[in-house]
This record gives sequence, C-alpha cells and structure tokens, in this order.
Amino acid sequence: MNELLQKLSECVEFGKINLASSYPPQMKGQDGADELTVNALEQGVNPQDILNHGLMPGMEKVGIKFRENKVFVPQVLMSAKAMSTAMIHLKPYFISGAAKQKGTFIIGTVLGDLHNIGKNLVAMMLEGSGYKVIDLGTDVGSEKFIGALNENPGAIVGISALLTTTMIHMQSITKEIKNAIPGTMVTIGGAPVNMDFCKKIGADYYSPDPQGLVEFLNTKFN
Amino acid sequence: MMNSRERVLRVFKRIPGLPDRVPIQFDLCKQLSDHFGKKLGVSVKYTDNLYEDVTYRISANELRVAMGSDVVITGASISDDYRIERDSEGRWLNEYQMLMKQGDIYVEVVGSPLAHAETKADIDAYQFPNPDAPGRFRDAEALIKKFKNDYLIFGDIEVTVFSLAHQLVGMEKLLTDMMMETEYVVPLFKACAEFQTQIGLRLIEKGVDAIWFGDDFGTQVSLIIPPETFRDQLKPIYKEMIDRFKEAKPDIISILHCDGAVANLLDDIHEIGFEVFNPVQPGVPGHLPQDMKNNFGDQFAFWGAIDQQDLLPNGSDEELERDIIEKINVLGKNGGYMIAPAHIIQNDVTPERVEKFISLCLKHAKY
Repeated sequence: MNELLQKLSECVEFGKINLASSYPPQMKGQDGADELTVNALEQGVNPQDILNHGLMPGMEKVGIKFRENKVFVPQVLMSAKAMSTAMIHLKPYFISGAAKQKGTFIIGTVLGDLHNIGKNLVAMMLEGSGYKVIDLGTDVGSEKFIGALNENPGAIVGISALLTTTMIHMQSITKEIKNAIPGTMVTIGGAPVNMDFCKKIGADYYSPDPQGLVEFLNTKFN
Repeated sequence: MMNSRERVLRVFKRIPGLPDRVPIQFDLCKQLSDHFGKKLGVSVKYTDNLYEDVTYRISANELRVAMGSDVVITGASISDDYRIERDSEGRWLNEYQMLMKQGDIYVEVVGSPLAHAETKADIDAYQFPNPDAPGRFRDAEALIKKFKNDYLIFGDIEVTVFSLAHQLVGMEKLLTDMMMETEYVVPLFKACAEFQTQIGLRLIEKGVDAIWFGDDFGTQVSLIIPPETFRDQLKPIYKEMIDRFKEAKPDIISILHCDGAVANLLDDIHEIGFEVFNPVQPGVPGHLPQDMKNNFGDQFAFWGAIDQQDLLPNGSDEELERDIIEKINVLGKNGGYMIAPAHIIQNDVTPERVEKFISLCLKHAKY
C-alpha cells in the first residue's frame, strides 16, 4: 500500500493526471493519479488514507516548491488537475462520511473583478490539501459570501483580487461578513494586496502563496 | 536645441552621446485625457484599437505631446466595417471574436473564441481580423505625417503572441496545454505572430521608427511560465518576428513591454533582438534599479520604472520626487533611460498629481 500511495503522491507532485497524459515527460507510459486512485480503492485502501497519505503529501511538496519559485503556475495547475482527477473517485466517500475533509473554505474573486486563475489555483490546492472548497466564482459581493456561509457554518472565507481598483471592495465585504456572522475568519490574497492591507481592512490573514494559506487553515481546523 | 526625436534616439543608442535630458512618456486613461484636453484646449483624438486595453496607449497623442511626452505612439485601429453590438448583458464581440465586458476600469475578456481548440486544424479554421480592413491605419498615417520630423514614432502591437493566445483560448487552458504540448499550441503562437507581423510590417511601411511588442510573462514574484517552456515554444517565434521587421527596415527598434518579475528572462529577451525593456515594473524581485542597470544596462535601454499602483496615486510629493531622482540617477546614468509610469495612469491619480509627476521629471531630468 505504501508504495502505491507513494506513487500517487508523485503523480500529484509532478502533475501526472492519467496514463494517456504525455506530461510530465519523465512519467510517460506510467499510470497517473486517475488509475492509481482507482487501484487503491479496489485494493481496499481507506479513502481517508488515499487523501492523507497519497494526495496531500504531493500537493504539499508542490505548494512549497511554488512558494520557493522552483515551479511555476502551469506546473502547479497540472498537479492540481492530477489531484482533482483523483478526488473525483473519492468524492462519494466524502458525501457518505466514510472520509472526512478537514474543513470548508469559501472562495471568490472580489466584486468588480473578473480574474480567476489565481483563485482557481488556490481552490484546487486547498482541495488537494484536504479541504472542501466552495468556489463562488468571480465578481462576488458580500451577499453571496454570506449566503454560502449560512449554508456552510464554520467555514473560513477567502477573497481574491487582481486589481488595485477592485481590492478596495475587500474592506466593505470583510466588514459586512463579520457583521452578519460574527467570528467568521476572512483571508485575502492576490497580486495587489499585502499584510498591511489585510490588517488595515480587518481581515484575519493574508498569504502571498497558496501553501501559506494551507498552513494557516491547518492551524484553524485542527 | 535637441528635439524629442533626437533625445529618444540617443536614449535608445541609435545616435551616440547623451541626450540633453531624460525623455518623458506617459499614457493617460480617458478621464484624465478628457480633463487635460479641456484644460489645455487640445482636441483629444481617441483611436480604438482591435484590443480595447491598448486603446489609450495609441490615443490622445496631440494632447500628450502638448503636456510634455517625448514620443508618439500609434497602432492599428478597428476596421471601419466593425460595429460594437451589445447583448442583453452589455457584452460585445471584438474583432478577434473575444466576448468583452466592461469592468470597473478595464474591459475584460469573458469569452474566448478558441476555448475548445485542440488541433492545428482548429487554429487554421480561425479567422484573424483583416490587417488591410478599411480604416485600419488611417489614424497611424495621419499621426506619422504630423509628428515624424520631431518625435520618434512607436508602432504598438501589444497583446502580441502569448497574451493574444491566452485571450483567444483562456489562460488556464493555454497554460496546461503548453505543459501537455497539445497539438494546437505552437500553431496558435505562430498564427498570432503572423497576424501581428502583418500589422507591424504595415506600420513600418507607413513610417514608424519602433515596434512595441507587449506580452506579460511575470507575476508579482516570479515568471508565469518555466523559462525552458518560453525558450522552447515562444522564443524562436519572437525572433522570427524581429528578423522580418529588420528585413523591412534594418534600423527598426524593437521594444518589449513585459509586466511582472521577469529579470530571469531578460538574457533570452536580449538574444531575441529586443533593444528596449518596458516597463521595468518596480517593486518586484530582480528589478531593483541598480541591479537592472548593472545586469542589463549594456543590453537594453529602459523605459518606465515609476510605480503607479501605489506611489503615483497614494504617495506624497516628497516620496514621488525621491523615486524620480533615484530612477533617473540609476537607470539614466550615462543615458539609456526614458522615464514613465509603469502602466497607464488611471483615474485614481488626480490631475494635479499628473502635473506634479511631469514637473518633477523635468526638474531632475537634465544631464
């Protein structure tokens, strides 16, 4: 089992989605995350173990490499896609409760902003790190965040912005969320924001990279 | 007395010797252009570009030279036959068939015509806009005729290859397909390059002095794509474009606009044949002015470097002046620098601040 999960972890780390995928070149002709997850389930490996010991270690390695600028956005996307492919097979077990995710994260690009690739990357990496992710899309105002929070009590919120002209909405949205549901934690991210801005608007956390957010959530959903 | 044309040619090392001062350039959003047009009594001419985001870079030239800009920037206009037809949500298709939507500030691409591309045949079946459509170069011809003697003229082909490709396909799909080496990827890059080469050749034939490419390869902290992927899939394509421009006009100047932290790509950019690097985005790794000058000062002239994300809209006059002095003294040492904000000056910068920027540049620009 260990060897199988180790291979699965490598598929996530290097972005090997399935057997047919030609990426990465060094893993051509090998089973990918898709096949290995099916194999593991057929062999009776606990879905929780597949997530915790197969998928998450690979995603953590990618997250650290990305933070250190050793890999780039396309490579992280491939890792996230490998992980997402595996998750399709695990989803029924989360729904049934046979496997558990660590917590729920609600994410959206801020009101007035239509950019999504950074937000999508974070969403995929969080899912690969064991979290249930509710992705509200782009151009999201406080009403939508609050609606999702009402359906997912205890969730943490993430707001993304790419433009200096849209990040200003993060302040009012953070305030409205916290007024509507006191105690809600709000995290922010995106190219124009930083920790000073996070503190200024009363948000709870900012990370310049997805791995930092994973580590923060791990302390909150322990 | 040195005119703007000679000043910038010296900065771009096409005439030996220092300019009399560091030249200035800036792009203005519509609100600022309208304001200054009224204030100075200068008629503001807007040239709609095929890709809307570039429109203000090739507009309001009469106004900007009246305000002190040392260059004139032109490009291809939308066709006389093109009409914006909005759907029920206010969206419209541009000449590339991208579905566009007006955001708070920018017009955004919300639908990509090649979102399902998989094969070379998909790219071959796609129709780029006609470079020779009626009206395409009317504004360019008029500007070149009016300003050629006194100003260096840039032909703007921004959103050139990589940016055009990811707007046509969708960024996430293109990036993963680049990794997978999906069949359509390099043919798409080549097709974008061919279209922009045709635009550039026509601008050269009309009389521009420089071709301004624009593709963003950087994020706030790093490159977007691995350097080896750039070298493998894109570098030869840009080189061929520049070689064809040089064939048409051997002394054509090739400028690259490239946002983000791209210092790790600049050796490749130089090898391709680019001579001017813009906008030298401040505040990102590898872009400290002294590092830029030390590492790349022999390879490039620099254009840009003044922060307009935070410093221009929010900084004090003293902070702005300090930054201008530093950039001129470091990037402009022994020439090789045209000062400009790193992006279009948006509506979050007051008109007074724009005037202050220009006056501070002039105050400290003399050699």
